Amino acid sequence: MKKYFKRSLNYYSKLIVGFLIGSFLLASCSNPIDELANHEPVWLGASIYDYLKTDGHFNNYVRLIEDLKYTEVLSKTGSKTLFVANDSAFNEFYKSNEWGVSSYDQLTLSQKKLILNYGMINDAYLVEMLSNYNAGVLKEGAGMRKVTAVSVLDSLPFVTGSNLPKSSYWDYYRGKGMYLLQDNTLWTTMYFTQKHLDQAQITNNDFSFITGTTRVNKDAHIFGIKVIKRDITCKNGYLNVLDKVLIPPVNMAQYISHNPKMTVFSKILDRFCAPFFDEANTLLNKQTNVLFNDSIFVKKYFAKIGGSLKYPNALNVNADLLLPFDPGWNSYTRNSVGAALESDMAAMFVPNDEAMNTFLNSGSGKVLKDRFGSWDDIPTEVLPLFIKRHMRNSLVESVPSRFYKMVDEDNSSLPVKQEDIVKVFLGSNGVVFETNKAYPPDDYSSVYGPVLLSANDASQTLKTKIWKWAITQKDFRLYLNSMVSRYSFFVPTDEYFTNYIDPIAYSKDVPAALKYWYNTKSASVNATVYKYDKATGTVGDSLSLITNVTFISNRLEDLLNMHIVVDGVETGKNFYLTKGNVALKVSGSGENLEIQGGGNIALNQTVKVTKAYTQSNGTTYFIDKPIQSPLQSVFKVLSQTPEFKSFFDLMSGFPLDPLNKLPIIFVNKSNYYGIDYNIKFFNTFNYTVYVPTNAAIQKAFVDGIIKPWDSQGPIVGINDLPVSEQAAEIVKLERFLRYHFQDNSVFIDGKAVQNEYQSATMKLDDATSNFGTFKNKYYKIGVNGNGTNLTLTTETNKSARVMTETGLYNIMTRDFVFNNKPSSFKNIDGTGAGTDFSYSSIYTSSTAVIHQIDEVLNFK
Amino acid sequence: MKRNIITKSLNRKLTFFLVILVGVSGLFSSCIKDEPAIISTFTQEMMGEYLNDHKPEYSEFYKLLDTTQVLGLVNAYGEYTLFAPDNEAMQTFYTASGKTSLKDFPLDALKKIAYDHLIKGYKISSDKFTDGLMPYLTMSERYVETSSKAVDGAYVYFVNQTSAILKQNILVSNGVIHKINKVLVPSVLTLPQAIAADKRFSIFNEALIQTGLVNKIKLLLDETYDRKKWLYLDVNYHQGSGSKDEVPESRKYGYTAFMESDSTYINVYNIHNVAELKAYAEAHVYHENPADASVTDITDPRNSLNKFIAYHLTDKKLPFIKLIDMYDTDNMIKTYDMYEYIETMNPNTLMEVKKERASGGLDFINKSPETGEAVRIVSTYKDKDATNGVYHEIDKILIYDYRVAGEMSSKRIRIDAAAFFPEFTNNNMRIYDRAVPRSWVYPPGYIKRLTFSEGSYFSYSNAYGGYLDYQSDEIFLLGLYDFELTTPAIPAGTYEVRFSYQPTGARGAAQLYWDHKPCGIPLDLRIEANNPLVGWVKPGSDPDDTFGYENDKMLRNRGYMKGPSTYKDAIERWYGLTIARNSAQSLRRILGTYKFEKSGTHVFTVKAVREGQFMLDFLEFVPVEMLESENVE
Repeated sequence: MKKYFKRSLNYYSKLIVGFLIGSFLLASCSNPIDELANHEPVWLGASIYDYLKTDGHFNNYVRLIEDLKYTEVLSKTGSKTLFVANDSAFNEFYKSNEWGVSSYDQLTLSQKKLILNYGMINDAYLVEMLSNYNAGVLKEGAGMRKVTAVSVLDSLPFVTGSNLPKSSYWDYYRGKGMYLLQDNTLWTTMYFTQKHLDQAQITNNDFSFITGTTRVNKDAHIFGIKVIKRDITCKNGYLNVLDKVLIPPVNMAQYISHNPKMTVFSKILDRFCAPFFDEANTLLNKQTNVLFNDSIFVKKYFAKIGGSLKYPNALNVNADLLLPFDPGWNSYTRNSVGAALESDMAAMFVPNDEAMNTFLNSGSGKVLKDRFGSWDDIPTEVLPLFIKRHMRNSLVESVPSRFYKMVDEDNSSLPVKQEDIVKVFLGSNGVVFETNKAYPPDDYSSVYGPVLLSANDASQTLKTKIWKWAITQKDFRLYLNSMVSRYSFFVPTDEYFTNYIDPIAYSKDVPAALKYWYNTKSASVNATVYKYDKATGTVGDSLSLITNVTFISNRLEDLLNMHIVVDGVETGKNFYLTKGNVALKVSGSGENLEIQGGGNIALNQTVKVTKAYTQSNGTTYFIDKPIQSPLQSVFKVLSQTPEFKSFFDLMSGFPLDPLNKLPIIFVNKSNYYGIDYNIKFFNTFNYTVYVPTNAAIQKAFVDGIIKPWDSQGPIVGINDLPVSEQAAEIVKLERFLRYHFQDNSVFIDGKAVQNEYQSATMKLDDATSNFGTFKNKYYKIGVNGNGTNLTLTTETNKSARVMTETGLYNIMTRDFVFNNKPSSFKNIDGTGAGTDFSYSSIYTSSTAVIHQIDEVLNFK
Repeated sequence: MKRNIITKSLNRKLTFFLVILVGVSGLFSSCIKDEPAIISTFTQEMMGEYLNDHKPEYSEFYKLLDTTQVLGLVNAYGEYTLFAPDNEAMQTFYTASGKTSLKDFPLDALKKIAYDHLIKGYKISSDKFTDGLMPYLTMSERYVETSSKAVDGAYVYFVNQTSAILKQNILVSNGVIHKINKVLVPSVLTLPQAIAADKRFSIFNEALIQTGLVNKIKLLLDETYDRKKWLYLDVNYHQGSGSKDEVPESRKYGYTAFMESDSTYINVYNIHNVAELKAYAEAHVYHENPADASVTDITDPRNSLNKFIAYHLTDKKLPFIKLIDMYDTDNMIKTYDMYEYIETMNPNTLMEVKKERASGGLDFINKSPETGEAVRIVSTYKDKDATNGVYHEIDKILIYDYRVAGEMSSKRIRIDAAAFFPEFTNNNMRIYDRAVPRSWVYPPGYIKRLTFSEGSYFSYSNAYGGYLDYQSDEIFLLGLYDFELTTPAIPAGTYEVRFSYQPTGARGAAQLYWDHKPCGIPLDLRIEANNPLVGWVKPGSDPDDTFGYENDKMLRNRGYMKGPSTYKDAIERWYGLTIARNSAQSLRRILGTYKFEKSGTHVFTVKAVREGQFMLDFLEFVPVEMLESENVE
């Protein structure tokens, strides 16, 4: 800190003295303080103008100053930092330059202004102090840019129609051309100083790679031009001599649009820019040039920062169509905590035409080619993800020594290697790396890719606008883009998105099937409601239309959860659990894959694959109808299957828990509301329920393992026991029944299984059991099968067998949890009493598979 | 009962002096029973100036500080604690060392002596003394033990058992000085050497050697760690608390041994030698894999004796206070018992330490909730310090047997994020300071069970009263992070796994993975609990749901839980001294229900998908058996 003050003091003391002296020079001659002005410190030297004039090696510069009428300013006023070139540098410049001028006389007024003003900073800085800036607090060594003295109107090009971007926003001006500013923000210069390089950890190799020139310790460069003589102290500022003439480099957007090797990228980038009337500069120009009677426009890109958030017609641009920043923004300022204009620039990795075409024709972009044919035909909404991946908001973070750790805004690695870089251009607002590779986003190669690329009208079939909309409502896109996971992703395409049976409507008087469709006008998904006959499974006339986004995204989220399997589904098993715990029955492979959810089975439907895409993190299957989850709860299956009657009777006979007055097993209350009754101890997971045959239950009564609720001949039922004995028998029965519920769904699914699973009955003692289960842990069930059968082993080492011969196995159920009881809502067609149906939502669910078994399971 | 005495210390150099009374009951409660009166004097001098001004007492030690150039340090701003031997103590030390003056010592030795007496970063007045090792390191990176004993009818503080404090709490501008009557000479033995030298534990020591486990407690310092290489990480980042992240000074190893004495083995268990101990282990050690029981090679980690001895060892240096008491910060609600889980060297096992409010006991190891059976530290033989570890005597056999294995698998295991990483403990970062936050940023490879991407900024904020965190501390990340941590071993079973965090607007979103499987869609850490997407309602604010239990269930249906009711923020900073359960800025995310086929470690991966902050307070593993009866703790 002390060091800082010492340094600062030195610096600021010079500034203050300089300022004071400058002020004195302008003050009245009669001012007594004139005496002081006549005693300038020796180190102050001459004025900038006088120095250049006297030196004799800066005749070109002196002419610039004089021609532009800056003599007075640079003789007497101001606190300036100037970067100038001597005459020999100018001579070299005249030999070859991008403006095509070969002598001073050929410089236009505009060019003269650019040379002079771009080398001028309106403040006095020692070279090493250039890296300091103030952003509320002094930031030492953190700066690499400053605003120059260039006026936006120093250069006002008229662009002919043929040179305007090709997108439709420019069509109106194509015939007549326009005065078009490439940007209307302040022009900045950039520099490499030792302090900043050290702090930003930009290596000399990085510097060389970017500028094409070398440096040694303590060197300073403006862009890539070396400062060969620095900090010449003049009365009104500091002079620095460069070894070349500094002319303003174009910004990144300009460079790309004029680069003959980047025409493909440039063209797709141009889709995101438009002309905007620049009223302020039009007026300003009219003030200085009364003959000017035209309008000035500025080229802006649709971007989150620096550009325009609106179209020229003032409508908002959809956030998905915004670039991360405007590549033509001269005053680019990174949008990050602590960032300032001075602290950083942007960077772009721009694949050259060869790279772009290779990517499209033979690389991972082939999917784009297959779907759209050419770059020109790729829908605009597909492109921002591609472009964004090539735009970097920090030059400091994008130097070669950091290539290896670059990630995109979704934290996915950007695999740029130094050998990928063909050419580097250091522009006024950032660096452009010309690359021989394209870096497509994960979105293209993940299981989400086919959805993204099909959510448009490029094809009349297999569109995925509905699914894409659903995905973007939550962070499913990022989930599906996870490259460390493997997914099977099922996608009902738009034309097949019909007949979704709403589970809440299903439990009401007016069951309904929904047809989801994409509303282009509102850019959202709507649902048309159709009558649905539960008994016949037929869909009738339309009843109403639902546009409520919350309602639709809730149902689609539930659907998404049951259309994603975190694994492959072609491993030879017949059943797979989805992300949402819903089991899918699967057969076949690839485009011959067939899928059934529990609901599809009930409807006797088979979901077929219309197209399968092998992606980097799994397979995306386009399917011909939505997968429908079971609409039957455990309660419903048990209560409506005669073969399960004895078990169900035992389950449903419990009185309320004497402690909390809640049901023991079947529950229908807030936070448990489902289609009918839910299993109380289910907990957003997947389970197996083993249901003994009626005969097995009967045998258990006879064997005294449990008691029935009501007496059966000599067997005294619980309800007929003395009250003092009832409680113990009720607990015993509950524990017995819960031992038939198992964590994890286990199907007879074609693959052998051998494992132990927890039941729902707690072991309460230290007695030795078959599976060595600890006290206070759930008793276990051993499950063995060869893929076509299942045999269970109990804690008492007894066996039971799943009865495949009765067909009562692999029965899928789902216990939904809704936000309220279905009867609290009106019917989906608006009839009935209650709150509007669109307020209903699915909170969560648990699923179970039910098997009939030949013996009861007992843990003791 | 404390005895406060006001005294004054005149300072000839200063124009004023102040005498203050320290020891206001409740504010500064000492952890030592029967302690001396707490007396403090205050001067505005720097520590070095004070010694210079009191040459008749400290001239020799002053010379030592001067010679070693430590004087500059204690004359600079900062916070220091100095145990200053008086001249008589220094002379005694010279004589005992066979020397006559300072000049006879090499400079390195003198520097070590100076560092042995100086604690940097903390001002430890006697009201903070513990009966045992204090949780602060000297500059020679050793703990200091404090205690009190009756001498000539009055209680006197002692340092490292032998150095009496002649004058306590000389408060200077940059810290506090305690005058001592004997130079501190910490043991230079490593933990294996110290155990071997202590004949109280000869049977255990012999087993330690025979099993080869002695080789697992030998490391002292990671010589490959070069702090300078990582200084670029220290980019002036200040945590919200104001603390500036530090790059760790060094990377030390540390160990703890919990040992039964020979006397306990012989008199209580009739075990007289290693052979009998082996037989005991064979009879009682729990083997999750029954085949392990037949492994006869005692150097094999599967062998019973090997497991038995290994269960007594951990790779954290845990003085008594760091077993659990230190984590009972002001944030913790003092009506709830506390539990700390320590991974032992017996593969895939945990040891539980319980602090029990009702009894006041803070060293119940593996206490059975049913029988009350527990192992305890022998209070008269604990905190035996070595260069790379510490050992404690325990009052009965410590064993991972059937009972412990069963009980461990049927309880909620909540593990503070800091407890995952031995490096935090061994390098004295997991430390509580109610009012002064500290934080560290970690180079890759510093933390053994953690990997993170180049772009990750991984930091830890120590326990500080302003945080609304369990045990007051948190892991904190910035930017586009991507990290993976390995948990301590969790017993086999089916668990609901939860992740606790504080949502705030500055956070980002992260994709969470458990054992490399995604835990649902990315978690948006910006969404606070009272957002309708979560649905939190402050307990007590809904007359139809007085305790908030119905709201709890609703949150669970959406994959969330409120923060526990067991802690709050202790100083008014951001959260209004609110119990976590009652705060919209405390949430637990249910990662999912997972079946752990075997006891073992698991992998928690977090990858930012939207730039912003990330914080991790704790993970908890709740056996599904507990879900129906779990309380709000």
